[in-house]
Amino acid sequence: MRHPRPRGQNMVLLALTMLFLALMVTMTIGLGLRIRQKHELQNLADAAAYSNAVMTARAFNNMAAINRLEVSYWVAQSADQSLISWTGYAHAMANAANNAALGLARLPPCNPRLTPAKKRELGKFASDVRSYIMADLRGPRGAPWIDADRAAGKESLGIQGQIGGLREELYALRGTFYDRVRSQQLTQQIVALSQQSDVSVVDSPPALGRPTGAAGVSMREVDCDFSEPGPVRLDGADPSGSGLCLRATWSTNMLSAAMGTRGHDFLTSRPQLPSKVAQRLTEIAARYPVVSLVIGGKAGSAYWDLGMNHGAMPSSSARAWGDDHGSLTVSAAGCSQNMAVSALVMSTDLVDRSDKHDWSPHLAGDVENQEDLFHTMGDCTPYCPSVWVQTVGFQPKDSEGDVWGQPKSLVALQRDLTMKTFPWELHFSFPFSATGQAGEWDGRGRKLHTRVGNGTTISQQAALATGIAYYHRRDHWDEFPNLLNPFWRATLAPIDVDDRLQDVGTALAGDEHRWQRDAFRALSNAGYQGLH
Amino acid sequence: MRRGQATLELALGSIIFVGVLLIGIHMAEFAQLSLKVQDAQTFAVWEASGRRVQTRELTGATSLSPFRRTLDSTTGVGPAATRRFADFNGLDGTSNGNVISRALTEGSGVEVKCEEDRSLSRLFPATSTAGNVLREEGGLRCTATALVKAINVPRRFLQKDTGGFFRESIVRQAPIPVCGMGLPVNGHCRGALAILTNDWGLANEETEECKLACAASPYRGLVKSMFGGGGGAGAQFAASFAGAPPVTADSYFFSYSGVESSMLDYVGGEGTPNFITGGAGAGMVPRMTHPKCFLGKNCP
Repeated sequence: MRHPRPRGQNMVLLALTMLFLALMVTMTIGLGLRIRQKHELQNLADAAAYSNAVMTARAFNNMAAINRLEVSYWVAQSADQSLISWTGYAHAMANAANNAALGLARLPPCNPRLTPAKKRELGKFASDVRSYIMADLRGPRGAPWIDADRAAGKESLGIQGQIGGLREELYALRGTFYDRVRSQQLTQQIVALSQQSDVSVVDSPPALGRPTGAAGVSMREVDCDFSEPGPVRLDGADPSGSGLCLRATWSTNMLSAAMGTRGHDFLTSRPQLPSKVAQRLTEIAARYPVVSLVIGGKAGSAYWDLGMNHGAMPSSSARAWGDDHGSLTVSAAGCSQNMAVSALVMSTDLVDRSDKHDWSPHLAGDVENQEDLFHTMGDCTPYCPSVWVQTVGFQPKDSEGDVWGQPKSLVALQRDLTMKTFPWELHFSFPFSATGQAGEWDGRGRKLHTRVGNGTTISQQAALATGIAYYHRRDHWDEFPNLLNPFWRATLAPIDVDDRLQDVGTALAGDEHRWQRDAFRALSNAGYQGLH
Repeated sequence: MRRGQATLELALGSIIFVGVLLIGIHMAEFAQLSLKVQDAQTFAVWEASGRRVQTRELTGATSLSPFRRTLDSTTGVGPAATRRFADFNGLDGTSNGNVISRALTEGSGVEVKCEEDRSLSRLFPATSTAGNVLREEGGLRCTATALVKAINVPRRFLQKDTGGFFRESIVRQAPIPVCGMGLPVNGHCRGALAILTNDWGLANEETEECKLACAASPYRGLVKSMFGGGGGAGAQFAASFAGAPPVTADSYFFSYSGVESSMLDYVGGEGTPNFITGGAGAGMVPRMTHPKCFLGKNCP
């Protein structure tokens, strides 16, 4: 039997070839677009991660500048405490001159050696000094002294109030910062500006509540207490995490900075004599040839501690001190009466009513000035006893691997490839299969069609990026990160810059990103570094 | 059997085969050039992140002129990216013309535009006390566009009006706009790559140590510009009864002792003579365990 010669064979072959070629072309276009989209997504993630690190650095630098400003205000307060104490010392000097002259005239061993004329001169000297005290230091019923003293005390309290205002500013800043990190608002805005409707933030958290995913990682990095939710511990115990912190250790650093910023000897050694009183006493003494007045050297300082320590390293911030101490000598006819002279102001918190503004020697009738009202500091709740306004510090981590606790910012973006379709994304079955099973062509890039992992959803493109805020001075990488200097900068970094590659799993926790987690793990296991 | 059938089939098939092949090659080149447009946009953004945003004078006054230069029409990052990628090649800094030709594709007209974006800056402004020295500016967004068209491909081939059988042109005559972000809408690129710069950190010479004896530094000036003073009541009290006050609560003091001074400054006087004014100290990690390379990590 003769078979008819097959016709159109070439056409069939050509048709199949054309189909194959057309599919290759659509695949080229599709892959080109996917690569481009992936680049876009990664660029967006990188820009967002960097921007978030910039925001973190902004927050830290703002806080550092305010903390440094607080230090200057603390020194301003120490100036007021010094002036209050110093002025009290002036009063005490006059009192001492009076007492010394009277002591010489009336008490042994000198008084038997003095002639009545000399005793009278000493008595007149003392009387003149007392008149000066009554007229110029106390004033009519003590009012000028009282008013000026109270104004100075209130000013010192007011400076603490200014620092308290700065603290509130920092707390508000911290709240805003945490809110921005938690809500990933900056990332959302960058995505919005890209006008890519199919791009979104992975696991975008609700405005309230504990964030998860990349936002959770970023929060863990900036909030030292994030891992231990609940009331902030104020007992000075080290937190489990690093980042912004309220801890006693930081107050100690602030206290040290304030002590070290007292940049004038009036605040640290105070050798200056109260010139006005010294001059008047000298003038009065000059009227009486028998009287010889020697105003001795003095010292004094201002500081913060529980007890009077004359400017030693403080162990507490319980009280604000100013103190002066010295001596004065009145001599007559070869006899001398040396008097110790001192003054202090001690301001406590509002609850503690033991505030003092006192001087010695004290004369009967010297002004008592309701110190607990006019030389007190403010409310210390909940950090009592303290006159120190607690502020926000940076808690580092004693780990080079964890980059000393410097915070990284993690961003995870995704693109939903199902939201947009393109003409070249063909999806159809080949009904002519030798096995009888229809083959499938899927150019949409939504599921894997492979022997291993067949059916895995790949419709969500994902990109991770990591920024880090870090502390740096030029040529001084060894200077430790802190929140007193605004030297925080931002850069991109690998996600495992802190040896925490597991953050990939936290940021891409959903089932739809399982294959991306697997890819990260496989690359890491193969020795690749610098993944982000 | 009719002779020449295979030849005819080949001829007909070749028409489509060659057309599809040309389009495939063109689209591959198109994709490659469009990635370069994306690169141009990205370059501008990262170039901006590497430039200074503000500088500070000894008085602490903040100048944003560097940021203005970043957005300037001549020295800005947009023009810099445009020049660098004019030939769709950002690998070297020189441009080999404004038109680049591949086998079947021609690219031209790369243009990167960057402008300030306040929506980013305003998301995180400084606190009121620091607002004058920590300026919110720093957000910017960049868009990149270019034109790509097919070359060396016959646009019209065997058209119906000339006796052929194609109704449509094989390729478009007009160049196709390509965007750095997303696809063009009505011929315009709307998507931007945005970034927030200006971390407010002092940099370079601004971070020099400035201890008590230091009269002026940008850091000292910056804090001083925020310092409003404590008032004059204490000084008035002293002046009235004791004498001219050597310092007042309005006196400004500043000490930043760096790691080169062990973060210590000397105050002398009574009590302890040295205190840490550099920040880290008690309760912190000992500084000397701190290596000296990037991010404080061990040097490679």
